[in-house]
Amino acid sequence: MLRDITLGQYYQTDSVIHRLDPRVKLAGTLLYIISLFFFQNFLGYLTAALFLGIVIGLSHVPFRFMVRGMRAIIFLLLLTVVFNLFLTPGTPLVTLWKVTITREGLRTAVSMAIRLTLLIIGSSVMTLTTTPNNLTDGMERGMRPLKLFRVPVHEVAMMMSIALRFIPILLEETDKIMKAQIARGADFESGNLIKRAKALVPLLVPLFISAFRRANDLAMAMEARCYRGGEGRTKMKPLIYRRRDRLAYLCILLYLCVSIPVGRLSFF
Amino acid sequence: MSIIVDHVSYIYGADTPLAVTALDDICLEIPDGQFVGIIGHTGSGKSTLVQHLNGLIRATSGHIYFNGEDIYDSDFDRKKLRGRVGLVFQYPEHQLFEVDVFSDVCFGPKNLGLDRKEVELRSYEALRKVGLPDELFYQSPFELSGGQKRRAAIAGVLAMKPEVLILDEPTAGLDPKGRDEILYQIKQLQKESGMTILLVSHSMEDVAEYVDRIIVMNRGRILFDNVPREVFSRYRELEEVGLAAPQVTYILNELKTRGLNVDVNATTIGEAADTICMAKGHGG
Repeated sequence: MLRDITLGQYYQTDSVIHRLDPRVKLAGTLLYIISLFFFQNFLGYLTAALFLGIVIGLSHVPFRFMVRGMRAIIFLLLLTVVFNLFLTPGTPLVTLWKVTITREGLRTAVSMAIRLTLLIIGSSVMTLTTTPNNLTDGMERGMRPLKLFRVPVHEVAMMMSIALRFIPILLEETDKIMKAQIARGADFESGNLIKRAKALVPLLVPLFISAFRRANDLAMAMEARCYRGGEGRTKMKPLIYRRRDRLAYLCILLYLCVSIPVGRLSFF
Repeated sequence: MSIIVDHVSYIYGADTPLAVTALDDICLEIPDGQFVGIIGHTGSGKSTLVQHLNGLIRATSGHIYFNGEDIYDSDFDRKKLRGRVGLVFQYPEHQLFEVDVFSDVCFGPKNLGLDRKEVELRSYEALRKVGLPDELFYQSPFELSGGQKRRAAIAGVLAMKPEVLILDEPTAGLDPKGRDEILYQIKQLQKESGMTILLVSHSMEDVAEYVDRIIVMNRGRILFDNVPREVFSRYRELEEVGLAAPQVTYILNELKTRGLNVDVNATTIGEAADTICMAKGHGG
């Protein structure tokens, strides 16, 4: 039930995208997301979708995995669409009882929906093709300049990698506790909102306790191995840019050069 | 009145690259009042199998009948089934959540929709049955020792008065004394109430003394299903799948090959001692 959430989950296979340096993927995803906010017409989104499609094709990750991540945000998506659709002032298109759908509203709603979908799928591609460890390694390297401003880059990266690492563990734990409580007659699926919220107590209390226990154990294990933060710590697998990484940067640049001007053309 | 497992298969992550066949065409019949040991290596499918029996996992194919009714029938009340087939998970102490032990044990019977008096009566009874001292009843479950927590959690399932009690590795992580105590109490329970008990374990030693029947699982299939002495006599084959017969079996077999006329079918230490004494007495 809970394992359907793909956001932040790695899909194990071998592909060009998987082998790319995590910094490339991070920068690429970031630039891709930024590009989505530049577009003013649907041609731009089409270019972005095309680019995304090629990347997904190269990544060898089945498309349904990407879509699975969408389930988590479908509610947010619907909410955005509905609000934009009905609450944007402009030229009226259809009037249903008291609410009016405007031309501008329809336009914003559709483009918001496309933007969100592309955004989520785009970031899913990154997390599906990069192991959490690699990802935080990339972040740590990428944020290194921030050290000048006394940002504890290593510590932040370590916290993030631990948090990511704990997602599947906690999901599994949740599944287990849920089953154990269902075996004791707990009912998580029926009743009104208050009843359902109450039903979560037997799930959340053990879950929190187990999370604290695990955190405590982990801290202990790290200290037992003399972990003392980032100072003077070297990497077992230092990140080095290779030919394919440079090529990937070039591709991203190319995408930006094509999509942003196209996306800002105003004849649509 | 029994549980029948009819050609049940189960595949984890059916349409992912990580699909694993956890159960492969399992057929079983468990009559009322039997004490059954389910033995298998880690990943042999034993935990998956028992989670089918109270409907927590739905089989990919096959049927399960409880007292003659198919539990997958749309009009079958699976919630009620969970009260009749009690399942104690591995490390059940991780599911404790209430402010005191007594309220935690009440959780199960309360979910069955019983009135308060009955709930409290059952909980009290269950706590007595698992041998938890009275003064701990109103303590926080998190302040108990490991073994006590485990008992409290088992009581939480017992209080539902199931007809079938399934325990998944009830002794994992306990010291030998705690292990023997819990197993002894489970046996007493079965004697007193005539409950059907399924004990899942990876250790033959654990179950040898207590069970009427042993089911050995390997890679999602049933390897042996017989009385303990018959299963243990195949100890060479058990070794091949990473399991072992109890130590007495090895000792007796070794004695036999060295010329002492012992009965190699003894399964418990007591029986083994008897047969050795007999052999020595007759022999010299």
